[in-house]
Amino acid sequence: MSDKSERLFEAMSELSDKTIDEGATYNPKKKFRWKRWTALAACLAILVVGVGGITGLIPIFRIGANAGGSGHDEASVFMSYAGPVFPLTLGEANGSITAQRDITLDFAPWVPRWESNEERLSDRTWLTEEERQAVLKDYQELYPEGGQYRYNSHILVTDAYTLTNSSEENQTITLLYPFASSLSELGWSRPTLTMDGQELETRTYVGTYSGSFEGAWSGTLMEGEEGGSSNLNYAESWEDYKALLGDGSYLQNALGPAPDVSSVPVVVYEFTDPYGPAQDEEAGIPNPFLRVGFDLDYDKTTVLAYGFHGGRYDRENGTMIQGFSIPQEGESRYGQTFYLLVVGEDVENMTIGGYVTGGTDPDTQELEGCGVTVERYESDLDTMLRKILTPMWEEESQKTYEQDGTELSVDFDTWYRAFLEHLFAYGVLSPEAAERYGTGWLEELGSDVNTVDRVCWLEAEVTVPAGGSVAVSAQMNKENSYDFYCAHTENSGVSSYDLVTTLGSNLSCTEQTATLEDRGQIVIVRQNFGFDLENGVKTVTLDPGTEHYYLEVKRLAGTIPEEPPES
Amino acid sequence: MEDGAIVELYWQRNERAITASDEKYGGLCRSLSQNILDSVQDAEECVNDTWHRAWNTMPPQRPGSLRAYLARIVRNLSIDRWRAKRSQKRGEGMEALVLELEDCVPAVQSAEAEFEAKETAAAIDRWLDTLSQEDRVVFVRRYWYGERVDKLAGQCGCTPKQMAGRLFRMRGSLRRALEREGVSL
Repeated sequence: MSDKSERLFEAMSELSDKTIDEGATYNPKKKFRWKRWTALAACLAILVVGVGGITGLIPIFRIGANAGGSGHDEASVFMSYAGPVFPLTLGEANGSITAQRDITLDFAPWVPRWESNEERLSDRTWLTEEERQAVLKDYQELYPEGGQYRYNSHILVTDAYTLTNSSEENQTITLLYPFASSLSELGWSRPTLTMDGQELETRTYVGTYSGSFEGAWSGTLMEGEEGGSSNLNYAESWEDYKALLGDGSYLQNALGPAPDVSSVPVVVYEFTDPYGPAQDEEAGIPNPFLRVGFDLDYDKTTVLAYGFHGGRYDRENGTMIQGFSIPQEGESRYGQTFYLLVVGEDVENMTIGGYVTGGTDPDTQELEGCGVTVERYESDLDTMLRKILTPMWEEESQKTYEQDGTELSVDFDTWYRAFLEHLFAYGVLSPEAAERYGTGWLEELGSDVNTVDRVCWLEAEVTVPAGGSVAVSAQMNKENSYDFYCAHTENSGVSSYDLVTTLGSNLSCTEQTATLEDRGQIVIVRQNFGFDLENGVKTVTLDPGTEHYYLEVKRLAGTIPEEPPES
Repeated sequence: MEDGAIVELYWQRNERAITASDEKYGGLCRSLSQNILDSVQDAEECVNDTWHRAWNTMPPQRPGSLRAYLARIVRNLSIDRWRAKRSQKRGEGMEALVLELEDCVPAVQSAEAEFEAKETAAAIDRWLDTLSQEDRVVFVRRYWYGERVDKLAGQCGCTPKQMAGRLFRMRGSLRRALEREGVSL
């Protein structure tokens, strides 16, 4: 080992921020051909239903703490839990309808597939022919064998039901098929529902955040210390979902009306055209900043902010400071409108001043020559949030499109509903606001609305003929549950998939079976299905008394070819 | 929490800045440091030092990318610590990474003085820009973040052997690029 290579390693610390950020955030998996089969992420929790909010009319759905770790069966608890496959349920229980459920766990995505350099390049359609040839040349240099093998760690799940009508009349029923997903992943995780092979027209309902919150130092708390609520707290086991869906109220809320905040009055402070001296480190102006200060009674007033990113909150003395860096020409925020929405009693004694930095300490140096146009008017919360959030939703849609090539697959109204539910359950308008959202900044809440996990439902209507049957099927991907590689646990390299037989379902099943399509790719580490690959037992009947089934597997050694295919 | 908000907390001298940094980037920093030092305990100390360094440098610093800022601090601290302890451990962590980078050392004997780290990094950045995004990320994850080869293979859907071959070819390509630019180390 030479000093030169050591210097090279050290010199790389100076690589650009862009390169370093890209290395940390880019997910190569997203480029896989199987990308639409990526992941159901998942979560858990206990549901607490309350009624209240600022008008006394807005329903608030809150999640409490985790139901508590590992399940009661022998299944492992993984660091990343994908959540179970749930059973179909009906909009209304129907005594005439029974079901035979046959679920197939197909490891087809695990099968390595050769991808040639040309195929690999095919999705980069924006390249000119000249660029294409240059990149292809690079590929040929990197993969002189002409390509490489790709595989995935998700499986394909087909959850099939034969619905039988024992009555003498046709039965038109509403199907509700649950699945776990975040809004941002909905494009990939939403199942496809079919009846007798034809895709059904469906409507998607999204539940509230399915997890809870915990403090930043939850793992190291001493006795008597409070846990806090600044971090999202994710599900660990199927029992967390049991706690969430068990009494039906979570689904009832998802199917019910959205919160209506049109009768909530707000006083709006709209800030436009901020100006001030240009940023100039040498002149002692590293960050020209506008600070808006005011007095308020924290018990009677709540402030929501948009565009602001500096704040100071002094409940004891009844003051608040909100502020933002004055956008410089050429910055993306240049020309943006900033808002303070005051809910409850209006704020008083508002002052606005320029400062050389975003610090809110009393000794932060003031900056002359700053200003902003302020307009005060009265409106309602619904009007203002729609006005402010529509561009945020559009931006998220655009971001999703740029990152994943798919649209954000919820319309604004669905997204807005999810936002309101999150705001009233955990934001500053909640009587038990999470510390995570204590600033009142709408952007922080909006970001989580996209990424937190929920249980969603696909709704479809079908008619089962008198004395007859129909075949309904849900097809989807199922992400693996796993331990993070670097943790070096005994489950390193193990993938787990699980399902629940009855949770949240009012459908009466006469029989449930499970079939394993292992594709010769796996060895079973732990399970309670009863599959026996050595003896060819790949279809088993499930015990209706067992609520939860799990399958934990590893990749079979030697399943990834070392050499490219001959043809 | 948005990066801008965390930076503001540093500027406000609010200790939540440390909590928020650890919450958002603690995992990344620990993993990076551990990859270099191959020691959980040393990595933990480096990460704690990183928060102190961040606290002491913001203000006046207002980084454009908080992630890159913190990761760069923890990487440099980890390299320093590795140097201090290099005699104690062989063949692990940074030593393995540096050994691999031997392939990238340009053969040119320049009459000029050694390149400054920033100039070398700029040349590497230019070379990285010629790669596809995935190759660029693979290289950076291996030699910047110290990610293990088998883990990278898992992320990219190839075998560790294929990944090792891919990295080998990229190292050769970097060496040629540095030679073309006349970089002297």
